Amino acid sequence: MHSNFTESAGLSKGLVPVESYISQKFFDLERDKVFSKVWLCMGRIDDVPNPGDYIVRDIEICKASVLVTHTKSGAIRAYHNVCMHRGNQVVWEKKGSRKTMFRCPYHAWTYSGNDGSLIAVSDEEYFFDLDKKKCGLKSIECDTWDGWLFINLNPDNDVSLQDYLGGMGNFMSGIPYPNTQRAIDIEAIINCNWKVLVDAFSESYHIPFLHSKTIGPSFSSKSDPAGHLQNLECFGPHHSISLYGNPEYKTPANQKVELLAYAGMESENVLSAAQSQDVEDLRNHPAVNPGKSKTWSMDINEVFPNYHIDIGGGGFWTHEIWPIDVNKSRYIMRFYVPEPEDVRGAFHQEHYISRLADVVLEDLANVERTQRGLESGVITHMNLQDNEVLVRRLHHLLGKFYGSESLKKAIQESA
Amino acid sequence: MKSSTENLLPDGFGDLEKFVSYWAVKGINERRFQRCDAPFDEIKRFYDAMYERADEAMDYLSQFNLSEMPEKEQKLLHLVLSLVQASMAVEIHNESRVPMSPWPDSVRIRSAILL
Repeated sequence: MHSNFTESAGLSKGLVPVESYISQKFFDLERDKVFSKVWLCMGRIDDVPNPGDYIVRDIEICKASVLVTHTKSGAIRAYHNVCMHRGNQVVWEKKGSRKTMFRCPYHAWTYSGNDGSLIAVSDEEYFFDLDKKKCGLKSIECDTWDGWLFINLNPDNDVSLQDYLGGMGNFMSGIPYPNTQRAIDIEAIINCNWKVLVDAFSESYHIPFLHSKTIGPSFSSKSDPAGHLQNLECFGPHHSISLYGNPEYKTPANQKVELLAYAGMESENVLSAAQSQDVEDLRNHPAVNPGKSKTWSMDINEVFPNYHIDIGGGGFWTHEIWPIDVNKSRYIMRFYVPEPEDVRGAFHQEHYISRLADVVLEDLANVERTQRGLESGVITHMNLQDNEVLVRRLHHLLGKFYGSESLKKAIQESA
Repeated sequence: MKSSTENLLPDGFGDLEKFVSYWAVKGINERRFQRCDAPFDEIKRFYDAMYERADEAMDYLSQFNLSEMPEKEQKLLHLVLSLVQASMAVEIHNESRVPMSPWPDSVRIRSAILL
Protein backbone atom coordinates (compact mmCIF):
# COMPACT_ATOMS: atom_id res chain seq x y z
CA MET A 1 0.00 0.00 0.00
CA HIS A 2 1.58 3.28 -1.02
CA SER A 3 1.31 6.49 0.94
CA ASN A 4 -1.19 9.08 -0.12
CA PHE A 5 0.44 12.47 0.17
CA THR A 6 -2.41 14.27 -1.57
CA GLU A 7 -4.90 13.05 0.99
CA SER A 8 -2.63 13.68 3.96
CA ALA A 9 -2.14 17.28 2.75
CA GLY A 10 -5.92 17.70 2.81
CA LEU A 11 -6.18 18.26 -0.92
CA SER A 12 -8.93 17.15 -3.26
CA LYS A 13 -8.05 14.62 -5.94
CA GLY A 14 -9.97 16.25 -8.75
CA LEU A 15 -8.81 17.82 -11.97
CA VAL A 16 -6.87 21.09 -11.68
CA PRO A 17 -7.71 23.93 -14.09
CA VAL A 18 -4.84 25.32 -16.20
CA GLU A 19 -6.29 28.76 -16.92
CA SER A 20 -3.99 30.51 -14.46
CA TYR A 21 -0.94 29.55 -16.56
CA ILE A 22 -2.15 31.49 -19.56
CA SER A 23 -4.48 34.19 -18.28
CA GLN A 24 -3.57 37.84 -17.77
CA LYS A 25 -6.36 38.10 -15.21
CA PHE A 26 -4.65 35.52 -12.99
CA PHE A 27 -1.25 37.09 -13.58
CA ASP A 28 -2.62 40.42 -12.33
CA LEU A 29 -4.08 38.68 -9.29
CA GLU A 30 -0.72 37.05 -8.58
CA ARG A 31 0.92 40.48 -8.71
CA ASP A 32 -1.67 42.14 -6.46
CA LYS A 33 -2.42 39.33 -4.01
CA VAL A 34 0.86 37.43 -3.91
CA PHE A 35 4.07 39.15 -5.03
CA SER A 36 3.07 42.62 -3.79
CA LYS A 37 2.05 41.22 -0.41
CA VAL A 38 4.28 38.33 0.64
CA TRP A 39 7.84 38.24 1.96
CA LEU A 40 10.22 37.57 -0.92
CA CYS A 41 13.65 36.03 -0.52
CA MET A 42 16.48 38.09 -2.04
CA GLY A 43 19.26 35.61 -1.30
CA ARG A 44 21.62 35.17 1.59
CA ILE A 45 23.23 37.70 3.91
CA ASP A 46 26.48 36.39 2.47
CA ASP A 47 25.56 38.23 -0.73
CA VAL A 48 26.27 41.47 1.21
CA PRO A 49 28.82 40.21 3.75
CA ASN A 50 30.54 43.49 4.66
CA PRO A 51 29.48 47.04 5.53
CA GLY A 52 29.25 48.99 2.28
CA ASP A 53 28.22 45.93 0.24
CA TYR A 54 25.04 46.16 -1.80
CA ILE A 55 22.99 44.16 -4.28
CA VAL A 56 20.20 45.17 -6.64
CA ARG A 57 17.39 42.71 -7.30
CA ASP A 58 14.63 43.08 -9.88
CA ILE A 59 11.09 42.04 -9.10
CA GLU A 60 9.71 42.47 -12.59
CA ILE A 61 6.10 41.56 -11.86
CA CYS A 62 5.90 44.49 -9.41
CA LYS A 63 8.07 46.73 -11.62
CA ALA A 64 10.37 47.02 -8.60
CA SER A 65 14.13 47.37 -8.44
CA VAL A 66 15.27 46.67 -4.89
CA LEU A 67 18.52 47.99 -3.46
CA VAL A 68 19.72 45.98 -0.45
CA THR A 69 22.56 47.48 1.55
CA HIS A 70 24.75 46.45 4.44
CA THR A 71 25.18 49.65 6.45
CA LYS A 72 28.17 50.94 8.40
CA SER A 73 26.42 50.01 11.62
CA GLY A 74 25.95 46.42 10.42
CA ALA A 75 22.23 46.60 9.63
CA ILE A 76 20.70 45.27 6.42
CA ARG A 77 18.39 47.79 4.74
CA ALA A 78 16.34 47.79 1.56
CA TYR A 79 15.14 50.67 -0.62
CA HIS A 80 13.37 51.21 -3.86
CA ASN A 81 16.15 51.85 -6.33
CA VAL A 82 14.41 54.97 -7.62
CA CYS A 83 15.80 58.49 -7.50
CA MET A 84 13.42 60.85 -5.75
CA HIS A 85 14.28 63.56 -8.29
CA ARG A 86 12.90 62.30 -11.59
CA GLY A 87 12.68 58.59 -11.06
CA ASN A 88 15.79 57.19 -12.65
CA GLN A 89 17.43 54.16 -11.10
CA VAL A 90 20.07 55.33 -8.67
CA VAL A 91 22.24 52.21 -8.82
CA TRP A 92 22.90 50.63 -12.20
CA GLU A 93 25.28 47.85 -11.16
CA LYS A 94 23.81 44.58 -9.85
CA LYS A 95 26.21 44.42 -6.93
CA GLY A 96 29.14 46.21 -5.40
CA SER A 97 31.07 47.00 -2.27
CA ARG A 98 32.59 49.84 -0.24
CA LYS A 99 29.72 52.23 -0.90
CA THR A 100 29.02 54.80 1.76
CA MET A 101 26.73 56.76 -0.55
CA PHE A 102 24.78 56.24 -3.75
CA ARG A 103 24.88 58.95 -6.42
CA CYS A 104 22.25 58.92 -9.13
CA PRO A 105 24.14 59.09 -12.45
CA TYR A 106 21.44 61.31 -14.03
CA HIS A 107 21.81 64.56 -12.03
CA ALA A 108 24.08 63.46 -9.16
CA TRP A 109 21.52 63.47 -6.38
CA THR A 110 23.36 61.63 -3.61
CA TYR A 111 21.92 59.37 -0.94
CA SER A 112 23.43 58.02 2.25
CA GLY A 113 24.33 54.34 2.15
CA ASN A 114 23.42 54.19 5.80
CA ASP A 115 19.84 55.37 5.94
CA GLY A 116 18.94 56.32 2.36
CA SER A 117 18.61 60.01 3.23
CA LEU A 118 19.26 62.57 0.51
CA ILE A 119 22.57 64.14 1.49
CA ALA A 120 23.52 66.23 -1.52
CA VAL A 121 21.83 67.82 -4.52
CA SER A 122 23.88 69.31 -7.33
CA ASP A 123 23.17 72.94 -8.15
CA GLU A 124 20.77 72.93 -5.23
CA GLU A 125 20.23 76.71 -5.07
CA TYR A 126 18.32 76.65 -8.37
CA PHE A 127 15.54 74.45 -6.91
CA PHE A 128 12.37 75.93 -5.44
CA ASP A 129 11.62 75.11 -1.79
CA LEU A 130 13.34 71.71 -2.02
CA ASP A 131 12.94 69.86 1.28
CA LYS A 132 15.74 67.29 1.21
CA LYS A 133 14.42 65.62 4.36
CA LYS A 134 11.39 64.47 2.39
CA CYS A 135 13.43 63.12 -0.49
CA GLY A 136 15.26 60.14 0.98
CA LEU A 137 15.15 56.83 -0.87
CA LYS A 138 11.85 55.09 -0.26
CA SER A 139 12.54 52.27 2.14
CA ILE A 140 11.30 48.70 1.88
CA GLU A 141 10.67 46.42 4.84
CA CYS A 142 13.53 43.99 5.19
CA ASP A 143 14.33 41.18 7.60
CA THR A 144 16.48 38.08 7.86
CA TRP A 145 15.92 34.49 8.87
CA ASP A 146 18.76 32.03 9.41
CA GLY A 147 21.02 33.90 7.00
CA TRP A 148 18.30 34.38 4.37
CA LEU A 149 17.41 37.89 3.30
CA PHE A 150 13.77 38.84 2.74
CA ILE A 151 11.89 41.98 1.71
CA ASN A 152 8.22 42.88 1.66
CA LEU A 153 7.03 45.40 -0.92
CA ASN A 154 3.76 46.19 0.84
CA PRO A 155 4.14 49.49 2.73
CA ASP A 156 1.13 48.49 4.87
CA ASN A 157 2.34 44.97 5.61
CA ASP A 158 1.35 43.75 9.06
CA VAL A 159 2.74 40.19 9.00
CA SER A 160 6.25 39.71 10.37
CA LEU A 161 8.70 37.51 8.50
CA GLN A 162 8.62 35.10 11.42
CA ASP A 163 4.84 34.83 11.21
CA TYR A 164 5.00 34.49 7.45
CA LEU A 165 7.41 31.56 7.63
CA GLY A 166 5.57 30.08 10.61
CA GLY A 167 6.23 26.37 11.05
CA MET A 168 8.58 26.30 8.06
CA GLY A 169 10.87 28.70 9.91
CA ASN A 170 10.96 26.45 12.97
CA PHE A 171 11.35 23.31 10.91
CA MET A 172 14.40 24.59 9.01
CA SER A 173 15.85 26.63 11.85
CA GLY A 174 19.58 26.22 12.41
CA ILE A 175 20.43 24.28 9.28
CA PRO A 176 24.24 24.58 9.01
CA TYR A 177 24.44 25.62 5.35
CA PRO A 178 27.94 24.89 4.06
CA ASN A 179 29.96 26.99 1.60
CA THR A 180 27.69 30.02 1.79
CA GLN A 181 30.46 32.39 0.74
CA ARG A 182 30.76 31.06 -2.79
CA ALA A 183 27.82 30.86 -5.15
CA ILE A 184 27.67 29.93 -8.80
CA ASP A 185 24.56 30.94 -10.73
CA ILE A 186 22.83 29.49 -13.72
CA GLU A 187 20.44 32.09 -15.09
CA ALA A 188 17.94 32.07 -17.93
CA ILE A 189 14.97 34.01 -19.25
CA ILE A 190 12.27 31.50 -20.11
CA ASN A 191 9.15 31.85 -22.23
CA CYS A 192 6.69 30.34 -19.81
CA ASN A 193 4.46 31.23 -16.91
CA TRP A 194 6.31 31.26 -13.59
CA LYS A 195 4.18 28.44 -12.20
CA VAL A 196 5.24 26.10 -15.00
CA LEU A 197 8.79 26.56 -13.72
CA VAL A 198 7.82 26.14 -10.08
CA ASP A 199 6.02 22.93 -11.04
CA ALA A 200 9.07 21.63 -12.90
CA PHE A 201 11.19 21.89 -9.77
CA SER A 202 8.49 20.59 -7.41
CA GLU A 203 8.05 17.00 -8.48
CA SER A 204 10.25 14.01 -9.19
CA TYR A 205 7.78 12.13 -11.39
CA HIS A 206 9.50 13.53 -14.50
CA ILE A 207 13.10 12.83 -13.50
CA PRO A 208 13.51 9.21 -14.69
CA PHE A 209 11.99 10.17 -18.03
CA LEU A 210 12.97 13.70 -19.00
CA HIS A 211 16.41 13.37 -17.42
CA SER A 212 16.90 9.72 -18.36
CA LYS A 213 20.49 10.26 -19.41
CA THR A 214 21.66 13.03 -17.07
CA ILE A 215 20.38 12.39 -13.53
CA GLY A 216 17.57 9.88 -14.00
CA PRO A 217 19.65 6.83 -13.00
CA SER A 218 20.54 8.51 -9.70
CA PHE A 219 16.88 9.22 -8.85
CA SER A 220 15.26 5.92 -9.77
CA SER A 221 16.08 2.23 -9.68
CA LYS A 222 14.75 -1.18 -10.62
CA SER A 223 12.94 -1.42 -7.28
CA ASP A 224 11.47 2.12 -7.64
CA PRO A 225 11.48 2.97 -11.35
CA ALA A 226 9.39 6.11 -10.84
CA GLY A 227 11.45 7.44 -7.94
CA HIS A 228 8.53 8.06 -5.59
CA LEU A 229 8.40 10.83 -2.99
CA GLN A 230 9.81 9.83 0.37
CA ASN A 231 8.19 12.45 2.55
CA LEU A 232 5.96 15.55 2.57
CA GLU A 233 5.75 18.32 5.17
CA CYS A 234 3.33 21.25 4.88
CA PHE A 235 3.58 24.50 6.85
CA GLY A 236 0.96 27.07 5.86
CA PRO A 237 1.79 28.16 2.31
CA HIS A 238 5.24 26.55 2.46
CA HIS A 239 6.15 22.91 2.06
CA SER A 240 8.95 20.40 1.80
CA ILE A 241 9.33 17.10 -0.04
CA SER A 242 12.04 14.47 0.01
CA LEU A 243 13.04 12.68 -3.17
CA TYR A 244 14.09 9.12 -3.78
CA GLY A 245 17.73 8.36 -4.43
CA ASN A 246 19.06 5.18 -5.93
CA PRO A 247 21.36 3.72 -3.25
CA GLU A 248 22.80 1.36 -5.81
CA TYR A 249 23.75 4.08 -8.26
CA LYS A 250 27.19 3.56 -9.69
CA THR A 251 28.66 5.51 -12.53
CA PRO A 252 28.58 3.24 -15.59
CA ALA A 253 32.05 1.97 -16.46
CA ASN A 254 32.04 3.62 -19.89
CA GLN A 255 31.57 7.08 -18.31
CA LYS A 256 35.28 7.32 -17.77
CA VAL A 257 35.54 11.05 -17.21
CA GLU A 258 32.68 11.01 -14.72
CA LEU A 259 34.48 8.23 -12.83
CA LEU A 260 37.63 10.31 -12.85
CA ALA A 261 35.73 13.38 -11.62
CA TYR A 262 34.08 11.52 -8.77
CA ALA A 263 37.10 9.37 -7.80
CA GLY A 264 37.64 9.72 -4.09
CA MET A 265 34.17 11.19 -3.51
CA GLU A 266 32.24 9.52 -0.74
CA SER A 267 29.06 9.29 -2.80
CA GLU A 268 28.70 8.91 -6.52
CA ASN A 269 25.31 10.57 -6.42
CA VAL A 270 25.34 13.21 -9.11
CA LEU A 271 24.36 15.90 -6.64
CA SER A 272 27.44 15.50 -4.48
CA ALA A 273 29.07 18.89 -4.62
CA ALA A 274 31.50 18.33 -1.85
CA GLN A 275 32.35 16.18 1.07
CA SER A 276 33.54 17.33 4.43
CA GLN A 277 32.56 17.60 8.05
CA ASP A 278 30.33 20.54 7.04
CA VAL A 279 28.27 18.26 4.88
CA GLU A 280 28.09 15.67 7.65
CA ASP A 281 26.67 18.33 10.01
CA LEU A 282 24.18 19.33 7.35
CA ARG A 283 22.93 15.75 6.97
CA ASN A 284 22.43 15.44 10.72
CA HIS A 285 19.95 18.32 10.93
CA PRO A 286 16.42 17.00 11.65
CA ALA A 287 14.94 18.93 8.70
CA VAL A 288 17.33 17.22 6.30
CA ASN A 289 15.81 13.93 5.14
CA PRO A 290 13.09 14.50 7.77
CA GLY A 291 11.42 11.17 7.02
CA LYS A 292 14.76 9.41 7.64
CA SER A 293 14.37 7.51 4.40
CA LYS A 294 17.09 5.00 3.63
CA THR A 295 16.64 5.77 -0.05
CA TRP A 296 16.89 9.56 0.16
CA SER A 297 18.56 11.83 -2.34
CA MET A 298 17.47 15.39 -1.54
CA ASP A 299 14.87 17.70 -0.02
CA ILE A 300 13.02 20.44 -1.84
CA ASN A 301 12.04 23.14 0.65
CA GLU A 302 9.70 25.64 -0.96
CA VAL A 303 9.29 29.06 0.55
CA PHE A 304 6.07 30.36 -0.97
CA PRO A 305 5.76 31.48 -3.68
CA ASN A 306 9.00 31.32 -5.66
CA TYR A 307 12.05 30.33 -3.63
CA HIS A 308 13.26 26.75 -3.28
CA ILE A 309 16.02 25.78 -0.87
CA ASP A 310 17.15 22.33 -2.00
CA ILE A 311 19.40 20.22 0.18
CA GLY A 312 21.21 17.10 -0.92
CA GLY A 313 23.85 14.86 0.55
CA GLY A 314 26.58 17.10 -0.76
CA GLY A 315 25.32 20.58 -0.02
CA PHE A 316 22.52 22.98 -0.89
CA TRP A 317 21.33 25.05 -3.82
CA THR A 318 18.38 27.32 -4.59
CA HIS A 319 15.91 27.92 -7.38
CA GLU A 320 14.35 31.37 -7.81
CA ILE A 321 11.53 31.94 -10.23
CA TRP A 322 10.53 35.51 -11.03
CA PRO A 323 7.45 36.26 -13.16
CA ILE A 324 8.03 38.85 -15.87
CA ASP A 325 4.89 38.41 -17.93
CA VAL A 326 2.11 35.88 -18.08
CA ASN A 327 4.30 33.77 -20.38
CA LYS A 328 7.80 34.97 -19.50
CA SER A 329 9.90 34.36 -16.40
CA ARG A 330 13.39 34.71 -15.05
CA TYR A 331 14.98 31.67 -13.50
CA ILE A 332 18.09 31.46 -11.35
CA MET A 333 19.65 28.35 -9.92
CA ARG A 334 22.34 29.21 -7.42
CA PHE A 335 24.58 26.61 -5.91
CA TYR A 336 26.96 27.00 -3.09
CA VAL A 337 30.20 25.13 -3.53
CA PRO A 338 33.61 25.36 -1.90
CA GLU A 339 36.49 26.97 -3.72
CA PRO A 340 38.37 24.13 -5.43
CA GLU A 341 41.69 23.53 -3.73
CA ASP A 342 43.50 21.93 -6.61
CA VAL A 343 43.15 20.76 -10.18
CA ARG A 344 41.20 17.62 -9.22
CA GLY A 345 38.78 19.72 -7.20
CA ALA A 346 38.33 22.05 -10.16
CA PHE A 347 37.79 19.05 -12.44
CA HIS A 348 35.08 17.67 -10.17
CA GLN A 349 33.37 21.05 -9.91
CA GLU A 350 33.44 21.58 -13.68
CA HIS A 351 31.67 18.23 -14.00
CA TYR A 352 29.13 18.97 -11.28
CA ILE A 353 28.21 22.39 -12.64
CA SER A 354 28.21 21.43 -16.31
CA ARG A 355 25.91 18.47 -15.78
CA LEU A 356 23.52 20.61 -13.74
CA ALA A 357 23.56 23.26 -16.47
CA ASP A 358 22.56 20.56 -18.96
CA VAL A 359 19.86 19.25 -16.61
CA VAL A 360 18.52 22.79 -16.34
CA LEU A 361 18.61 23.09 -20.12
CA GLU A 362 16.52 19.91 -20.36
CA ASP A 363 14.03 21.39 -17.91
CA LEU A 364 13.92 24.79 -19.54
CA ALA A 365 13.38 23.50 -23.05
CA ASN A 366 10.66 21.36 -21.57
CA VAL A 367 8.78 24.15 -19.78
CA GLU A 368 8.67 26.31 -22.89
CA ARG A 369 7.06 23.43 -24.76
CA THR A 370 4.63 22.99 -21.88
CA GLN A 371 3.65 26.66 -22.02
CA ARG A 372 3.02 26.45 -25.76
CA GLY A 373 0.90 23.38 -25.22
CA LEU A 374 -1.13 25.07 -22.52
CA GLU A 375 -1.64 28.16 -24.67
CA SER A 376 -3.04 26.01 -27.45
CA GLY A 377 -6.11 25.57 -25.27
CA VAL A 378 -6.24 21.84 -25.96
CA ILE A 379 -6.33 20.94 -22.30
CA THR A 380 -8.36 22.91 -19.80
CA HIS A 381 -7.54 20.77 -16.77
CA MET A 382 -4.67 18.62 -15.51
CA ASN A 383 -4.76 15.09 -14.17
CA LEU A 384 -2.20 15.03 -11.39
CA GLN A 385 -0.91 11.97 -9.59
CA ASP A 386 0.11 11.64 -5.97
CA ASN A 387 3.80 12.40 -6.56
CA GLU A 388 2.78 15.70 -8.15
CA VAL A 389 1.20 16.76 -4.87
CA LEU A 390 3.09 20.06 -4.75
CA VAL A 391 1.83 21.06 -8.20
CA ARG A 392 -1.67 20.53 -6.90
CA ARG A 393 -0.94 22.26 -3.62
CA LEU A 394 0.42 25.40 -5.31
CA HIS A 395 -2.91 25.86 -7.11
CA HIS A 396 -4.76 25.19 -3.89
CA LEU A 397 -2.69 27.83 -2.06
CA LEU A 398 -2.96 30.41 -4.83
CA GLY A 399 -6.72 29.93 -4.75
CA LYS A 400 -6.63 31.06 -1.12
CA PHE A 401 -4.49 34.08 -1.98
CA TYR A 402 -6.52 35.17 -5.03
CA GLY A 403 -9.64 35.57 -2.96
CA SER A 404 -8.12 36.85 0.23
CA GLU A 405 -8.30 40.45 1.38
CA SER A 406 -5.01 40.36 3.28
CA LEU A 407 -1.83 38.36 3.66
CA LYS A 408 -2.81 37.53 7.22
CA LYS A 409 -6.08 35.99 6.06
CA ALA A 410 -4.43 34.12 3.21
CA ILE A 411 -1.91 32.53 5.58
CA GLN A 412 -4.65 31.53 8.00
CA GLU A 413 -6.55 29.91 5.18
CA SER A 414 -3.44 28.10 3.90
CA ALA A 415 -3.00 26.24 7.17
CA MET B 1 58.45 23.94 -40.39
CA LYS B 2 57.22 24.61 -36.90
CA SER B 3 53.53 25.11 -36.42
CA SER B 4 52.52 28.32 -34.74
CA THR B 5 50.93 26.46 -31.85
CA GLU B 6 54.04 24.57 -30.83
CA ASN B 7 55.31 24.77 -27.25
CA LEU B 8 52.16 26.25 -25.81
CA LEU B 9 52.00 23.45 -23.24
CA PRO B 10 54.42 22.23 -20.56
CA ASP B 11 57.11 19.75 -21.59
CA GLY B 12 55.80 16.25 -22.14
CA PHE B 13 52.33 17.30 -23.30
CA GLY B 14 53.26 18.28 -26.85
CA ASP B 15 50.90 15.68 -28.31
CA LEU B 16 47.99 17.86 -27.11
CA GLU B 17 49.20 21.05 -28.83
CA LYS B 18 46.77 20.61 -31.71
CA PHE B 19 43.84 21.00 -29.30
CA VAL B 20 45.03 24.20 -27.66
CA SER B 21 43.59 26.74 -30.06
CA TYR B 22 40.04 25.42 -29.77
CA TRP B 23 39.83 23.81 -26.34
CA ALA B 24 42.21 25.72 -24.05
CA VAL B 25 39.66 28.37 -23.21
CA LYS B 26 39.25 30.33 -20.01
CA GLY B 27 35.84 30.24 -18.32
CA ILE B 28 33.31 27.45 -17.86
CA ASN B 29 30.72 29.15 -20.10
CA GLU B 30 33.25 29.59 -22.87
CA ARG B 31 34.36 25.96 -22.64
CA ARG B 32 30.74 24.90 -22.65
CA PHE B 33 30.00 27.01 -25.71
CA GLN B 34 32.99 25.52 -27.53
CA ARG B 35 31.72 22.03 -26.80
CA CYS B 36 28.17 22.80 -27.88
CA ASP B 37 29.39 24.41 -31.10
CA ALA B 38 31.78 21.62 -32.11
CA PRO B 39 30.83 18.73 -34.38
CA PHE B 40 30.46 15.52 -32.37
CA ASP B 41 33.33 13.77 -34.20
CA GLU B 42 35.73 16.52 -33.17
CA ILE B 43 34.57 16.39 -29.60
CA LYS B 44 35.13 12.63 -29.62
CA ARG B 45 38.61 13.01 -31.06
CA PHE B 46 39.56 15.49 -28.35
CA TYR B 47 37.90 13.35 -25.67
CA ASP B 48 39.82 10.23 -26.67
CA ALA B 49 43.19 11.97 -26.81
CA MET B 50 42.68 14.06 -23.69
CA TYR B 51 41.33 11.25 -21.55
CA GLU B 52 44.55 9.29 -22.13
CA ARG B 53 46.58 12.16 -20.66
CA ALA B 54 44.13 13.49 -18.06
CA ASP B 55 45.41 11.68 -14.99
CA GLU B 56 48.99 12.52 -15.83
CA ALA B 57 48.12 16.15 -16.54
CA MET B 58 46.27 16.50 -13.25
CA ASP B 59 49.15 14.91 -11.33
CA TYR B 60 51.50 17.37 -12.97
CA LEU B 61 49.23 20.39 -12.38
CA SER B 62 48.59 19.53 -8.74
CA GLN B 63 51.95 21.07 -7.82
CA PHE B 64 50.70 24.51 -8.93
CA ASN B 65 48.34 26.89 -7.20
CA LEU B 66 45.09 27.02 -9.20
CA SER B 67 44.91 30.80 -9.32
CA GLU B 68 48.58 31.45 -10.05
CA MET B 69 49.51 29.02 -12.78
CA PRO B 70 52.15 29.95 -15.35
CA GLU B 71 50.82 30.42 -18.86
CA LYS B 72 51.63 26.95 -20.22
CA GLU B 73 50.24 25.21 -17.17
CA GLN B 74 47.11 27.33 -17.41
CA LYS B 75 46.60 26.18 -20.99
CA LEU B 76 46.95 22.56 -19.87
CA LEU B 77 44.46 23.20 -17.04
CA HIS B 78 41.95 24.58 -19.54
CA LEU B 79 42.39 21.50 -21.71
CA VAL B 80 41.77 19.26 -18.70
CA LEU B 81 38.61 21.17 -17.82
CA SER B 82 37.44 21.05 -21.43
CA LEU B 83 37.65 17.26 -21.19
CA VAL B 84 34.76 17.49 -18.74
CA GLN B 85 32.78 19.42 -21.35
CA ALA B 86 33.61 16.86 -24.00
CA SER B 87 32.45 14.12 -21.63
CA MET B 88 29.00 15.68 -21.38
CA ALA B 89 28.64 15.17 -25.13
CA VAL B 90 30.35 11.77 -25.35
CA GLU B 91 29.26 10.08 -22.11
CA ILE B 92 25.80 11.53 -21.63
CA HIS B 93 24.12 12.98 -24.70
CA ASN B 94 25.86 11.13 -27.51
CA GLU B 95 25.71 14.37 -29.41
CA SER B 96 27.28 17.79 -28.97
CA ARG B 97 24.63 19.17 -26.67
CA VAL B 98 21.36 18.47 -24.89
CA PRO B 99 19.06 17.07 -27.58
CA MET B 100 16.06 19.18 -28.58
CA SER B 101 17.13 22.14 -26.47
CA PRO B 102 17.40 25.82 -27.31
CA TRP B 103 20.81 27.15 -28.22
CA PRO B 104 23.16 29.01 -28.19
CA ASP B 105 22.88 30.84 -24.91
CA SER B 106 19.60 30.40 -23.14
CA VAL B 107 21.42 29.16 -20.05
CA ARG B 108 24.40 31.01 -18.63
CA ILE B 109 26.70 30.07 -15.79
CA ARG B 110 27.97 32.93 -13.67
CA SER B 111 30.81 32.56 -11.24
CA ALA B 112 32.90 35.13 -9.44
CA ILE B 113 35.99 32.98 -9.81
CA LEU B 114 37.03 32.38 -13.36
CA LEU B 115 39.28 29.44 -14.10
